[in-house]
Amino acid sequence: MTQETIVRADRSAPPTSVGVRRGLFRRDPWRKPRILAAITWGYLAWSLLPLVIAIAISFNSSRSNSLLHGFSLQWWWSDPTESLWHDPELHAALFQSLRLSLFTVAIAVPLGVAFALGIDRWHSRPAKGFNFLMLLSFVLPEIVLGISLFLVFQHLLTFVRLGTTAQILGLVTYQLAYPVIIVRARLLTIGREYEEAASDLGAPPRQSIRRVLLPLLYPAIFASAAIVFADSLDDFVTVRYLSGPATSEPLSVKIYNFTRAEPTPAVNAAATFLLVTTTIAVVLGYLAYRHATRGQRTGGVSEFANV
Amino acid sequence: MPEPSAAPSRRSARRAHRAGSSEGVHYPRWFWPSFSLPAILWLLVLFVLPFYTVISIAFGTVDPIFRSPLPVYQPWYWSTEQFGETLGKVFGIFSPVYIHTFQYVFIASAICLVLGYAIAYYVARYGGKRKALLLALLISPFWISYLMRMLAWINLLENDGYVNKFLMFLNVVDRPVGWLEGRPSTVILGLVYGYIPYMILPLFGFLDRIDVSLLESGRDLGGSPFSTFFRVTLPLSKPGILAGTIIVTLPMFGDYFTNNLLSGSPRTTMIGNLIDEAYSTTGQGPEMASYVLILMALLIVPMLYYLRSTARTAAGR
Amino acid sequence: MDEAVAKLEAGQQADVFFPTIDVLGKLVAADLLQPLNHDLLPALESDNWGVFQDPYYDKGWRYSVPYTLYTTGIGYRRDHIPDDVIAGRDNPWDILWDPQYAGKVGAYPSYRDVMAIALMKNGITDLNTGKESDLEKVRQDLLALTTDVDVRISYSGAYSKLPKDLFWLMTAWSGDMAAGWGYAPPYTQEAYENIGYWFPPDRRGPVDNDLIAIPKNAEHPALGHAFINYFIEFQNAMDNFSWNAYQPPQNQADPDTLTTTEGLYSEVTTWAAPAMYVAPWMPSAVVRQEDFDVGFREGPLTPEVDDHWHDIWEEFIAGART
Repeated sequence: MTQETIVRADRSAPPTSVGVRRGLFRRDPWRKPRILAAITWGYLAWSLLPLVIAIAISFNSSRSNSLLHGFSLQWWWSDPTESLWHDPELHAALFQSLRLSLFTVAIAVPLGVAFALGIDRWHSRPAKGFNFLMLLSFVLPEIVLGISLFLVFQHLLTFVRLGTTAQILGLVTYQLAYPVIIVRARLLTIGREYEEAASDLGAPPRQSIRRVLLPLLYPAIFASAAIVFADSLDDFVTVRYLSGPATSEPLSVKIYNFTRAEPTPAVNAAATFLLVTTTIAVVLGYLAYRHATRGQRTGGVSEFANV
Repeated sequence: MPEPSAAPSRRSARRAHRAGSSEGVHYPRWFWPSFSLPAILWLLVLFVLPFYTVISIAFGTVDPIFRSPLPVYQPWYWSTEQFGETLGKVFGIFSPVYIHTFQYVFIASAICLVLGYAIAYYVARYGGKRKALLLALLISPFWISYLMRMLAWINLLENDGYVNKFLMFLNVVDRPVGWLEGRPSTVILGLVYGYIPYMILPLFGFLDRIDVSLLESGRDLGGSPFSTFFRVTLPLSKPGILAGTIIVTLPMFGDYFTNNLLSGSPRTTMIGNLIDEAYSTTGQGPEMASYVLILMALLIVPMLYYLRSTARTAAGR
Repeated sequence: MDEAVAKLEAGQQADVFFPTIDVLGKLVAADLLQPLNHDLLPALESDNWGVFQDPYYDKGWRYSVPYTLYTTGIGYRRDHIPDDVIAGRDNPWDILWDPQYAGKVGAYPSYRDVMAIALMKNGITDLNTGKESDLEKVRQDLLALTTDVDVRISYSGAYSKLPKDLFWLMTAWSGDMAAGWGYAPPYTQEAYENIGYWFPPDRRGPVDNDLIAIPKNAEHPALGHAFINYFIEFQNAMDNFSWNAYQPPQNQADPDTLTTTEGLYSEVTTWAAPAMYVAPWMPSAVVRQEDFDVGFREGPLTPEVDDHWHDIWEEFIAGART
């Protein structure tokens, strides 16, 4: 190596890759890709903007559900017959929606968490089989589940009349997989050390689970409760097939029927109300989870990504 | 009651292994299965049994006067008449329905995959400080009802709606386009819009967990961004792609409401619509059950493939 | 109707049920309805039409009472299709198949009514036919609707899409079109006058009525009877008429005055301009007692024939093509 070669090594030039034309990468190859960024923000706009407009239409001063003509609260409470506030049908539907979701969460989350715990630790062929069954219930189209439950309640388990009970049973069956998947993903990252430490310190199995394992699972449990609640509130395929008298039709089914018949902005108002309810529930769930896991370094919002 | 011991002997180690743990903690054999038992019973009664009922109705008969379905529970009395007739229709007059359902689902899934991957990749690798915000925004469709999102599009796609106004403003078209009048493109758009969040999230989960140093080393070893992507990132994210695709594609096959809401014409009827129509028609109970069975048969192979590969990945972890 | 009957068969409880004629026999045979106590229904004989006092499907009104009357015809936009264009055709029923209106034709998802129109188009007046040749013609015509005019199937065609000028033609019931004024933005007289209804002038077309009945598992049958009586009393029936535009068989309502008398809805609502019970420019939407003598009724079908009808409809709905 001569003196000139050493001097000629240009340290100010950015690192280039071997085998690629130099001109292409004068810019920083570690910069954020603009196209991907554009796609992402474009997608978010495409995803959320229609909702903003839909919410705005619920405040429409005319009957049109496509064009905004002005601001008015008539669809929310001033119209004496068709507004959300005055329509008794919509009230009943809203209470039914909440009732179904709360019962579903109360049943599905404990069942699912317990199932996940058991399957994770119980190594055997039957366990694999039941795990397969659970995943099957997750990927099957909902119409298959809805129709088969409708048929079983009509012909075999006829002591369960179509109506709220049937709807809750159907919803739990459909939602059961969510807590299982989320909790199992979490269990994989937790590992066994904590329980072993607890039992080394003399805790019997039940205590080590209750006081060590479960608290570690709180984020996953809250995430699954929030998802199950939101999903059951919005579900209409299963509950539509399992609905009985008109009082057992939740808001989602009513919205579906109205949209097919004659959509007025009142439908938008009902859907917006549902959206607000779900948002509040999710935010409350998130705050509760933050409170319960204070002091722990956990995944946060990405808990929900462990599907 | 087995006592915890610090240095397990060989016998207790064997017992511990059978009890379902590898070191240290001893649980009785029935301990963990008992956790799963309630959910197992639930699934058996409300998931497996209903399928048997579906089969019994598909292979059953129909009441002659009221034409309500009569399930036949003993396999030796099953009659294949109704099922055979429906199968014939599937390959006969309803074959266009099945064909274009496949088309819509395939195109919609492909769009979801490509678009979803790009977005998940961006947020996972380049999210930076805004990662949590972006993730929250991406998760939001999960708790915004599907109906509301479709409603939003119905509002926009009406003949006098804002999409047409926008297009006419830009002089792309000179007359309002009938988006809601039985166009496959609208149905595909609806499917993509409705299901893409289910693709983005698993993909993000996987991409997020990929160790960035693996990608960087690919670059350091002289690969271009493209070759790093194709030879490092893509193979590593295969489980995520598989998971996302299955979660999106399989439910799409049973979708009927997107078509109902976004299209007024029989031209875009999907498999789910056939089932839904048969549900609301007297005398078509066995036919509806047959459609359900045929749908399940279509989906069982991809499902089994997915389950085998997740089992393999789980074992490999 | 199918769905409602299925729910009733499944044991759903209701105090009052509104069946159509074709399912009434089935419901009675399945022991799902209870006989009505006519002492609790004084308005039945006093207020309602004589021609209805002993119908073939329910002798002596044992299980049901008549609810609303309607004819099945064609709703259309008068601004695009002038009245004389549709009335002047040799066979006005086939305007629904005219390719020049492709993309603007709507059909209601009700198999009996749409197939009845196809039968009328072919000049077949037996609306309960099971004849192979008749049904084959109907099948061809239904599939032709998809191929020739790209028909749209819509629940809301008559009172939403047609007034919004998305459809120009629609298979419609008289009650749907008569209420068009309530659904036509921007709710001006001009907008109302764009909605028309056609029915054969000689009144030889599908005419029918709905029923009210009380299920056997009603928890409050006396209340159910009171409800029914309330609904079939003159003033209440007319108020209901002005709301949903389906005419009740009331003795005191002179059919000739229906196009010139305002109804209750007109006074109460903030939407419509003064609105008559039936819009003056669609006198064919008025139903008269004599219509039931010359018109054609949709009655119950035998199970095999009903299966055949359903099969044809299923083919049509699934987008099969000729």
